[in-house]
Formats: sequence, structure tokens, C-alpha cells
Amino acid sequence: MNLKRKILSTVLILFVCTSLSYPQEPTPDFSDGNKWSAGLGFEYFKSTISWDEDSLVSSLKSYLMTFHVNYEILDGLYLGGIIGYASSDFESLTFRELPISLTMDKGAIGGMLFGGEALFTFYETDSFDFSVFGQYIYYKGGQKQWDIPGLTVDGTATGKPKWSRATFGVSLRYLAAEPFLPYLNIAYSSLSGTFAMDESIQTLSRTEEKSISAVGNFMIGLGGIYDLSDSLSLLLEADFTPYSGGDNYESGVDFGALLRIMYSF
Amino acid sequence: MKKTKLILLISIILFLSLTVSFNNAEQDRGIRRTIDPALRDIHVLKDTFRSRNNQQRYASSEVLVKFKPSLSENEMASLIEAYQSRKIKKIPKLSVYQIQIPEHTSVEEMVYAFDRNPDVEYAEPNFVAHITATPNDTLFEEQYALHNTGQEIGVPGSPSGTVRADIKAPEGWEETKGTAETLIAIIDTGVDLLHPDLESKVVSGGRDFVNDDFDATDDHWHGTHIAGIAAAETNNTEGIAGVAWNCKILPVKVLDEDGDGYYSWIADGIIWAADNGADVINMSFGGPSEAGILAEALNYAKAAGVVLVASTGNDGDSVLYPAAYDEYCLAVAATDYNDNRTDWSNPGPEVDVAAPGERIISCVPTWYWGQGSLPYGYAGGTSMAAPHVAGLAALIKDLKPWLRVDEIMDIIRYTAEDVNSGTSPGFDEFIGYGRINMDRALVPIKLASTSGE
Repeated sequence: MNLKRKILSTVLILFVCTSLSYPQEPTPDFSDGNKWSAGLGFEYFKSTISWDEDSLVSSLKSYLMTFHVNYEILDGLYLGGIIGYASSDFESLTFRELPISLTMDKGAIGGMLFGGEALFTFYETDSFDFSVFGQYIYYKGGQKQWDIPGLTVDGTATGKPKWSRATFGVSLRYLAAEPFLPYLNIAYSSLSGTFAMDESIQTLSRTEEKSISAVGNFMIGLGGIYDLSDSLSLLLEADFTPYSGGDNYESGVDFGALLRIMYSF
Repeated sequence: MKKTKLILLISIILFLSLTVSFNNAEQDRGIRRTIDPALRDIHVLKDTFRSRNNQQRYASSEVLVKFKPSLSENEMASLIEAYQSRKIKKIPKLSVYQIQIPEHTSVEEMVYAFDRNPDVEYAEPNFVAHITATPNDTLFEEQYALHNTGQEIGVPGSPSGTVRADIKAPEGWEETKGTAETLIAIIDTGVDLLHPDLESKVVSGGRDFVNDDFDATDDHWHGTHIAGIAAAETNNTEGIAGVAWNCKILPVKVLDEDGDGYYSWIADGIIWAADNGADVINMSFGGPSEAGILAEALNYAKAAGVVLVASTGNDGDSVLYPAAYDEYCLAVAATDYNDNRTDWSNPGPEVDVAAPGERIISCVPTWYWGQGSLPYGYAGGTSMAAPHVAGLAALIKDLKPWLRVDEIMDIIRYTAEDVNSGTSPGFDEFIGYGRINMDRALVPIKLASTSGE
């Protein structure tokens, strides 16, 4: 199972690196003679992440503010770049390899993100079109420093998170209700990253890097694109990522939502 | 045109299929390289003792909701239905509903949804409380040093302690109770090898350097008392609980039936303990003179990875040796049941930390009181304070075997509680960094969002 996941995530990373990747959600139809589109997005997702070799889980909650630029390189094939800011909260992530163990309470860490996305519509009827899409996002959080409470001497902890998310899947879009175009996405999504925590208390100094990965990988997205005008579109999407329970956690469903407004030119 | 798209799609898939296997192999090698073999051992250990983070925090399909008092019962029922939820029961006195949430939603989402409703006073998960690790030993409630409830210390009419003037043992045990792999050497008058609370904890007959044999049976009472504090059998429905719940005891006799011992016996005992697997050595004794033989023995043990703990002395004078060897030993002073430093506890710049040492109940040899009496008794002194620290050192070493001796000593120092901060803030020569705190030393400290920058 792990091998499959690795293969699939590697596929997607390559997809993006070779500029042959596809965005997480269908890009609005900008084909009215406009090759370029740009817009702003806002996304929230909660991902249940595992760590310590999958023995423990906690939540990663992230808010993403993104700027997108897309270009239709061939008929039906869109490539795009993403840049933005993300705020990620690694609640309850615990570091037990440090001399004095530490656990994260609530507290988001802001950082830059960038990535790419692509969509390729490969089949169309009057009422539907089918696309494959992919998206890759890399988040690098800034350093956050905490005073370690309750010690007899001064001590600080410095956290440095990063994660990447690769998603690819298929999209079915209903075209007969223009200007509203509802769609359904079924996608594979892989989120993984690291959180390095430095501890420095007088003579005690150590770094623990924790690898994290999302426990849920298969995502269902429901959304719609609404053409506000010939060149302005609004996209709304809700994502659900179910995951099965492990030794120390129960099954559940992670949730995400995104809003994007795009202008084509 | 459609044909062109189809060809392009197939080309992409083929290209990716060819490149995937190579990259995946690289990724696997990378992951293997980053796994520290020591970490695997930790997980095995942690599986044995469920840590706090593994426990279920709240019911997975329920939330608790309190509606505004202005709502009628019918309105509340309609509201619950509107959220596709079902009432399980109501706690009438609190007007709080226990609600079953729809299958496809999470507790967090429903709490969020209910909370946003103006007719709801509050909504929250149905949290789970867990029993703390309280042992069932019959005399545990007498052990104020481990868990101070303000109980009377001794027979009825004895003085009472201050609530939570203790080393926070139950909190620490939530994180770890140690394992039998970790050995505490009690270098003392010996240990009663047949004591019901110690019999199963003693790994061997030990070594007797007074009589030069391999039977470290206690002919005083002191060593048995010390061994009980550090690692008596715990949760066995009798007697007392030891600080290092599951760790084992290595008895080493270097003091005679009067409680006296030559430095040569002591040096022999330290080296023998280090060579025979001790992870921690407790030395609840002291002499006024420094000596090369003692320093060398301590140096030998520390270099072998043994944490050395020693008592400072009970005459109010300067810190005794070996505790005064600052480089090698954690020097332990004594506090009482109110977290006050005892006036007989020896002060000095060598003092590292303190632990309860006044009116401490522990094991005494089965022959000590005679038949018909329980083999337990109260005693006081920095001798009784030191094994609390030795027990904590053993738990830390067991939990984090990769730490160096100096790091373990620093953890104990830095996580202590500065209980005399009112009169002597910060490090002082009476209780050093403070009274030890097992909660801080073992349980992960929460990094609050407000403490960040």
C-alpha cells in the first residue's frame, strides 16, 4: 500500500516538475479566445497527519491565500503557477526525542508557498467534459520561537515546518447549466512534510525532525464554477478525504474548502 | 483534434510510468537513511505504556450542546434535527444535550457548526477523562512525597502536608513507568532480599564489600528503606509505590550494620555496580573528606554512562562527599511535606536539587520490627530525598536511552520547581534549582501559542 502511495505521489511530483501536471480543481473555461487567466484563491484544509512511524496522529490545519496564473498552452491543456502565503497549525505534534519533551499547543506558523497546476480536458460532449488534473504545492514555514515555560532556567524552542501536497485526479464537469458549471473531482492526494524542532536550554541543545504524512489519500471534491461575466469566474469547492483508523486512532473524514476568483485576458 | 489530445494524454502517462520506478526507489532509500535505529526501540517501549497522546480525547460521534435558555424544548429538538443530529440524552440540571452527530461529519465540524448558531450558548466535544496512574499499593496514600493530598504524615494527630507539595509522581507515570531493563544500584547497607515489596525487584543477591561476598542482605535498615523509595514493587496491592515503578534494583552493600563504610568499600561498590549494568547509582551516605579513590570511582562510573545521585548530609553543615563532587554527582537536599527546606539539610553551592526527605515511609527489613508488624516505617534525612531523584533519573534514562549522563542531570535540574523562590529566587545553596518535578521532567511541555514570537 505504501509503495503504491509512493509511486502515485512520485508520479505527481514528476508531473509537475516536467510541467505536465494538472490543478486540483478544474480551471474555469477561459477558452473564449483568452489564453491567460489570473486570480486569487483562499483555501482551508484540515488533514489528519501521522508521525512517529504512523503510530500517532494529530491535525494539521492550514489556511492558504494564493495567487494563480494559468496559460492555455494547447487546446484544452492549461498550465499554471501558484504563489502565496499559508498558515499551518500543527496542533498536538509532540517531540519526545528532545532532552525535555515538547508538544505543540494551538499556534499557526506562517510561511510562503508556491507550486504549479495543470488541467487537460481530454473528452467532451454537449453536456459533459472529462479532464485530468494535478496540483503541487510546497509550503515552507518561517521559524517560530517559543519560550519553554516552567523551567528553572531560560530555554527556547524553535520550530521549522514544511510540507508539500501533490494531488491528481479526474474531473467530470456538467456543461448544460451555464453560466454555472458544477463538477465532481475524484483525486489522489498525498501530503507529507517535516517539522524540525530545535531545543536550546543552557547546556541542553538538540534538534528533532519529525516526518509527517496525511493518513487520508483519496479525495472527493464537489464544486462549481460560476461565470460572473465573460472574463470573470468564481469557483467554489468542498473536499472530503476519508481515512481508515489505525491502532491509535479512529476512522474519520478530513475536510477542505476553497474559493477562487479568476480573470481571463 | 480529439485524437491529438488522446495521443498527448497517452504520451504523458507512458512518460510518467517509465520514470516512476526510478524515483520511488530513491525515495525509499532516503527514508531508510533517516530512521534512527534508536527510535524503533522507543516505539516498542511506548507501546507497552500508553502515553497521554495515544488516549482517546473525546467521543468520536457525539457533541455536547447547551442551548440558550430562551428556547423551548420543541425548538431545541427542531434545531437538533436541523443539523441532522439525534438527541442521546439531556443533563437536566445543566440543560446540556448529548447529541449524536451525522455519520459523515466530524466532531470538530459539528462543534463549529453548533457554535455559530446564535441559539447555542456553547458546543463542545464530549471529552474523555482518564484515570491517572495511581498505584493500588495500600500505603500509597501515606506517600506524600509522591502525591501530597494534604494528608496527615504518620499516625493520626501527625502534621499534615500542603496539597501538591510533592514530586508529581502520578503525572510522570502517565508518560512512563520505566522498564525492567533499567537498573538502580542501591549502594548502602544492603537490601532485604526477601522483603515482599522488593523481592521481585532485586535482580540478584548483589555484592557485599563489607563481608566480601555476594549476599548484600541488609543488616541495618537504611538500604532497604532507600531501595523501597527508589523502586519498591508498585501496584501490587500492598506496601508502598516506588518512584521508578518498573525499574529493578541492584543491591550493593558498602556500609556495615552500624551504617559506616570505608571509602575503599564504597569505591569498590561504585565500580562493581557500573560494571554490572547499573544505569543509576544511589548513594545515601557521605563523609566529610574528599579522596582520590572516591573521585576516581565516580569518574569511572560516570564515564560508563551511570547517573550518580548522592545525599548532601543531615547536620546542616557543608555538603558531604561524594555529593560534593559537583562534576560527577547530583547532590540532593531535603524538603518537607510543605515544600520547605529542612533546616538539617546540608547547604552549599554543590546542591543541585531537593526532594522530600522528612517523614518518608518506606520498607524496612522484615526482621526489623519483629513478627506481627508490617515491614514499613517512617524515616527522615537527605538519605530519603536522594532515592526520589535516583528513581526519576532511572525513568528518564529508560525513556530516553540516547541521552548522556550530563544531559539527564541537567534535565532534573532545569525541570525542578523553585519552591523557595519567595526567599531565595533562582538557584540557591539550600535546595539548588528546586524540588524535583516528575511531570515537567517526563511529560511533554506544552508550547503555548502565546509564548511564540
